[in-house]
Amino acid sequence: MNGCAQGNNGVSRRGFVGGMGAAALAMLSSGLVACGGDSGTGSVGEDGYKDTLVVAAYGDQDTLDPQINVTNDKVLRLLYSGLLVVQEDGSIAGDLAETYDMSEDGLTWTFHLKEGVKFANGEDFTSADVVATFERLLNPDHPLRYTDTVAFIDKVEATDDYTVVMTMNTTYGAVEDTLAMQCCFIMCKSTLEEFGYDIGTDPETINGTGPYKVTSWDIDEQMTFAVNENWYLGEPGTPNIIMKVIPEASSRAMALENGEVDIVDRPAVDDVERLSSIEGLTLVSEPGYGLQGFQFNCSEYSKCQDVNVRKAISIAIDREAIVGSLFKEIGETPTHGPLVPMNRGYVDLGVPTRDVDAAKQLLAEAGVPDGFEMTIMTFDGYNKGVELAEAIKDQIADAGIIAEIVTVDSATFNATLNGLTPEEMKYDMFIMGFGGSSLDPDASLRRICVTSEDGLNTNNYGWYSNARVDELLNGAITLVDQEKRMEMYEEAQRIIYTEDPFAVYLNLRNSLFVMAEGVENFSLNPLQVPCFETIKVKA
Amino acid sequence: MKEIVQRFCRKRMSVVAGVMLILIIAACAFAPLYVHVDPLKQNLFNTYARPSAEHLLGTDNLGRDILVRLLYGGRSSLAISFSGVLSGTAVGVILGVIAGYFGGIADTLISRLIDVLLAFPGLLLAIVVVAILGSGESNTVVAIAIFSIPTVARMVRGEVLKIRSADYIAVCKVMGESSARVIVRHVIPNAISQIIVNVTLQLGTAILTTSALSFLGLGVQPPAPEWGAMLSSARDVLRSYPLPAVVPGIAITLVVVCFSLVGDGLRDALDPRLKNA
Amino acid sequence: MFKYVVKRFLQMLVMLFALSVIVFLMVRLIPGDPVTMMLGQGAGKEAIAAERARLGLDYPLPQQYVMWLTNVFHGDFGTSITTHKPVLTEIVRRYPLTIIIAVGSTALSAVVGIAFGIISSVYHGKLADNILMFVSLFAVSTPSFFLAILLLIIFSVTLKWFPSGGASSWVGLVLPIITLGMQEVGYITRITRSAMLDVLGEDYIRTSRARGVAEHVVICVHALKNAIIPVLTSIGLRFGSLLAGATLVETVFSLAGIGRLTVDAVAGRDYPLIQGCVLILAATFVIVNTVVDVLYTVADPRIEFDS
Repeated sequence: MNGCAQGNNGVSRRGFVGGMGAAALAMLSSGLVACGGDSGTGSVGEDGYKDTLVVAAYGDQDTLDPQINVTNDKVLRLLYSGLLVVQEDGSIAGDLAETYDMSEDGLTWTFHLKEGVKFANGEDFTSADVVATFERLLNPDHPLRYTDTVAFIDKVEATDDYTVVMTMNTTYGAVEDTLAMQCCFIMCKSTLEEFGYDIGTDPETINGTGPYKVTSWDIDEQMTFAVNENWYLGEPGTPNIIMKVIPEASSRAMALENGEVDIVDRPAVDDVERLSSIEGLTLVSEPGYGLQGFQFNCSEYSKCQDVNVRKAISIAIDREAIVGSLFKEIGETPTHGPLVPMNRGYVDLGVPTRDVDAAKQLLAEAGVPDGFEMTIMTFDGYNKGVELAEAIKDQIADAGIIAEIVTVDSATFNATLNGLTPEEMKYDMFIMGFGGSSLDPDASLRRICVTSEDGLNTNNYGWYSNARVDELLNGAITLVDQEKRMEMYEEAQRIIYTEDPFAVYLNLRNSLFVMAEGVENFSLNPLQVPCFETIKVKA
Repeated sequence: MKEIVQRFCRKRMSVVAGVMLILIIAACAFAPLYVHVDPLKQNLFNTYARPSAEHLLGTDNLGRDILVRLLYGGRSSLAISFSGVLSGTAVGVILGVIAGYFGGIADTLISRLIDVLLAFPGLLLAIVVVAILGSGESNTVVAIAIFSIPTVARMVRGEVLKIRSADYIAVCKVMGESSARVIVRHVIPNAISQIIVNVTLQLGTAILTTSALSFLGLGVQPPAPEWGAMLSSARDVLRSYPLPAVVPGIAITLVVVCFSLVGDGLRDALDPRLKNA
Repeated sequence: MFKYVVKRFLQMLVMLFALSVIVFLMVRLIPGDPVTMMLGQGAGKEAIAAERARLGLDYPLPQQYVMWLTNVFHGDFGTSITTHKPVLTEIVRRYPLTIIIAVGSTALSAVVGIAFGIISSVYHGKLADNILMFVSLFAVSTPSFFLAILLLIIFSVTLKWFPSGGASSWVGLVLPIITLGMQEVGYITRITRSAMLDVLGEDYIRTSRARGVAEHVVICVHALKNAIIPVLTSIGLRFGSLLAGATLVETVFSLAGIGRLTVDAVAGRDYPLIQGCVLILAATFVIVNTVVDVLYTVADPRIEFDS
């Protein structure tokens, strides 16, 4: 049987390799034909603006199914829209929903949908699409990446073509912010029926109500977008977008300097000064929606279990010096709390001042007056992740703490912070980015801070456990009285930041872009995602 | 021996390369004895400093002295490549000898194993090994060791087969010498020249493989000073600040060139039959 | 001879089978759970369990292997965990680009390397020989990603001859091919040089020269004819290393080839994709080697077939 099978194998392989050769030849000849043409920068319209915007991205999307997508930062919002949207000032307004209201008890929400909205494929947007979208996301038999995020929704029903009623399992304090998240983007019912869980890979499976539609997607190479003529908000700034995937930061910079792209996402931090000094290039560096720092492993197996040890480490670090030096070219600043300023309920808690003597005092109280040895895990997928760890190691050494830095690759990083028991966790501190995918503090705090129920670090990566924080965060989310909620978050922030440190928070991350000459109307939304749909490029 | 040295010295380039290599290895190996600056010591207020009397080659992104890191990085790079290649060679020699000397099932099994290892071309084998074991210094050594096993094993097996058929081995066996004795006394010395040449050439390849793994994020992880890691972590800002990348880059090229030249010279010197190769 | 060829191909099939087992097992040895990788941080437990079951990760290993191999015979290499696309589709889409780069750099290095080798052998020990050997030595001794960035700075940013990357036109492939080819030139120069030196010392060359045949004819026709076989064989055997080596240039030049696919798959613990890529690359290598080997024996009558 084996012999026979192998025979088949050999034959099919040879046939397969032959096919490859043919494909290679075809590619080569098509390349030859394409020679001489300007590679994809498009033409210039009568108004003097280019018809194509070219963006250099550092990586590709995993999928364009909003209910599964993990790399959800820049593309989905060009293709889809949700019932609600976060406006420029951070307030929430209806998007596909014209108006909406909540019942007295907070358990029933009614959405009156906009009429006359069409999907990219020309179909009308109705309540049936909303119902189909949420039924797919809530399906207990096929849980998806974001099913947990909307677990507070019990059912979604249509009362007529343009009215949707959502019934909640419980009162929930962040309904609006959650519904404005990308995972709640509305998908078309007929597309869902046709492609099911295959949505998100091929352009024809992607059908939303956003300003653009995908026309081609060569994974890890480029994604092309054309205007969605049916967009209910009018016309985007530039009819076409090409998003090129250029993994190397140096290559991204060169593409910009050569005029091959109009915007570069994430230039290398230390290359920014040179780039922005080049005539015509403009740097955009704005406080983004995220923090960077090192989280403590608070489990019994960790050197950082004792709260005094954690406080000592926290105040042994000179955040101004580290952030001011490592990120000086892009002007990043130290964090002032466990949330970002755009968050609802943000409290400015200041920057802890470095005090090595106090740190030593705390270590003495913790019973380790002469310091100790510990491990810090880092990952260079974070901006300057390794450098930050090195800087921390250098500074806590003054308090007698000898740190060993372990740099891991992305796979190990993800595997380490997911479903381990405390015994399996080898590190006392580890690098982490903080920030939710909505402006509500719940998204930034509850999932990662409340005590892990099953003892695994699936969400609370460092087994942080503080009874009061649990009470505050679990309590606040069930309230609809926003004022009361925010008071509770304020107390939680203080505990997490200073009294019982959850992490050493370091820098408020900046969104970083460099633009070529002629790029106009570049802006970032409140979640610091670029609004590519408004951009125009003067030729 | 004298003749070998003479033959080696006739190739002037190899001699120059050999002397340079010895100097570089000595400078790196003894760095802790004469350099009293910690290669990890950073100064966040003096990043990317230009070369000066204090920092002859300037400083890197964390204000660390590039020259000091170069010397310590060389220690690490050379240690990785030596330990990887030597342990791989040891395993390869043992496998090759067993396969060649004993033949039979041992030979079949080992030869197939070699074939399978050789079926993963070039860097692919190292990538696969690191994928299984994880990244880091010790695993890079393992990857390089496994990388160098098949070539050595195959070569030694061939040599052993050649020698085994030689008359004097048969005589030894008739005279009642044990297999182990025959191998140690006669087979290994005959294969040694080829092994040495191979080791020299592979040392260079190993340094390149280490740096390739670093580039792919699968190699030695920073902050450890290692040439490949230094080069790949500084490459993004090569045009803003060339020294942190160019210095280790040149060091790698230079050392690999030297290993090749010395390897060539050794081959000519040790094995006159292969003079032109 | 026919018997030898058949035997060689049978050996190849056994190798491919062994490869499939090894590739399958190897991927299971990789630490880290692919499902948690795929769903990202903070995924629900139910979602994780459902996904594990869907991927068949709950079955015992031998059963998973048989399932996998059966599917492979049907052209089904599984579905990529990260892109949710069939692995074969991904490979078929990505492989041609890498093949073009590898074939291009093989051709480039063959032409330049053989020319260098001939010149070196003719001017054996002279200045030209030394310069050529030195240049090719430096190319082969520089980390290829470093060489790639340097070439980009010179030819793309400074001279603007080539784009900084991408494969939207063949112009974009020139620099990657040169980078990869330059690394091979040194190797081929050496082989050609030593093969030529061997041949140039033979009696029939001396006879030709004595008969008054023009020197360039002696070298380019009489000598090269006999020296070229081992050179071409080595070029064939190096093809696999070029396929694997393309990974580095693909990253610098933003090319979506199979090398980058493999490394990304390793980083993302994408079991099916790693299996597919490694299997295809190794199988290509084994097949190319067998073919080169057979052609070599066919072309060179001096080889005995029993050995």
